[in-house]
Amino acid sequence: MVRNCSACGTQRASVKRPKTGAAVCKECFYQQFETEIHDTITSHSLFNRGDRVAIGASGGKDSTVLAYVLSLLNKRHDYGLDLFLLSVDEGITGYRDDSLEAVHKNKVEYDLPLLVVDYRTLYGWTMDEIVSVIGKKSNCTFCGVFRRQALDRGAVQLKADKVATGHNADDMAETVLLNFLRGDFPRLSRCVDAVTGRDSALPRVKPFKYTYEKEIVMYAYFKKLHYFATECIYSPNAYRGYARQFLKDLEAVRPSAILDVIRSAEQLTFPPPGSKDTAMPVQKTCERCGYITSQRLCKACVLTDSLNNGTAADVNRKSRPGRVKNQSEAQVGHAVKAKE
Amino acid sequence: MTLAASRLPSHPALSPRLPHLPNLAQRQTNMTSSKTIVLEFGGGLEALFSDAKSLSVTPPADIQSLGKLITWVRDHLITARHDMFVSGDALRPGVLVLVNDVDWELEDTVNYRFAGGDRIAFISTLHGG
Repeated sequence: MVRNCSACGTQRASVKRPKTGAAVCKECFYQQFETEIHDTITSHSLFNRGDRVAIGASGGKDSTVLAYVLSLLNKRHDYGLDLFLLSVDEGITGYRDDSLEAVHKNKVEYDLPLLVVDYRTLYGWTMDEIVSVIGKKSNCTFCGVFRRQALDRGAVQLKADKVATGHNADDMAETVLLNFLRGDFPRLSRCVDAVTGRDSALPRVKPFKYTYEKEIVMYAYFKKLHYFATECIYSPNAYRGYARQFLKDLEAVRPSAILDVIRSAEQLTFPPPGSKDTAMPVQKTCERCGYITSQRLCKACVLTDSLNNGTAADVNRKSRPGRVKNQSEAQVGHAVKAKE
Repeated sequence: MTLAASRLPSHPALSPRLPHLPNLAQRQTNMTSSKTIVLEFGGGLEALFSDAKSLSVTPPADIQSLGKLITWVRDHLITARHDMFVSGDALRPGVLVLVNDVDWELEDTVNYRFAGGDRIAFISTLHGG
């Protein structure tokens, strides 16, 4: 059963696009894939000419393809961007040290400058050390809070104007479900935004917001882009795993489900921060480090304190997501992507 | 293409002549004979196959469809973490399949009857990026 490409009509189709069901050949797939990302970038005004953009690079599939496609589009459409790779070394032996090798290869292949920031320098603790103190349960709380802030700190070192991350449509839909299931409406309100913190000193942009994971992986496979794929040795992250599997099962039956979840979340409206009858937090800055927070101290400072004074296991228990009364959960900002 | 098949416990299905590159001469059309095909693994699935990115295999003659091939791979080639590859008898959602670089969704998925020399890639999308 050989099918011809629905776009060019001459080449043999290689990909069934989950968004549309269209069967397209490799070349038309590349062209449509890249054009759609370009459209997301322009229609959401993700970048301004002259921006210095730090690409959050983990060595995994999404950030590898993001670095490749942003370099390509920057040249093709003359965005006038200065691109950088920015990686976070959490200090996880046998996981991050391997994936950083992939980033170092990207640096050479795409000719982009690379900065690696690490937990030990920023917080005085590696994830290996944190896990040795608090155990494997809930260590993702520490890692997520630290990683998000580490990316911002690294971006400041790079004098970046923006941070671009490889969150794809599947990640976005998964995070919508997760925030919904946790009753975390502060996060639900912004988790599908293509740009968050637009008015802040360091906006975060998601050029892959509408890009299916399947297509990112197909693109990397056909283009022979090398990435690192393994599970974090500390993170079963079971709750997110359920949401992810649920979405994958839905996608198998109806591929548009992923975009539909995103579109639904885009239509939700929320009361403004500080409204009387809601718990939408007002953003302030951390009294100690100046990082964005809705509390006196930011979550990273609270967690670092707990590690230093030996109460980490305690804080960990109290900071379970899903407790509305725990406002400190809301201060962390956008949902941090799980590294599974 | 790296070939780490020799590190797997020896199995009669694994071709004795490794590496085994498919060519047209080996393409067999007789539906009742066994066929040698190349399996590729990516996106973390390599870990289930002793880090082999590619294996040349010859399933028994009664295994002719991709659906049957998947359960055969589950039962004969994987020793641990079966859940990363299958969910029951079905391929785990989130694992992509390409037949000679064509999305299996364009090839009738589990019903595709493979031919000798086919290159079938299984790529997981389930790991973080």
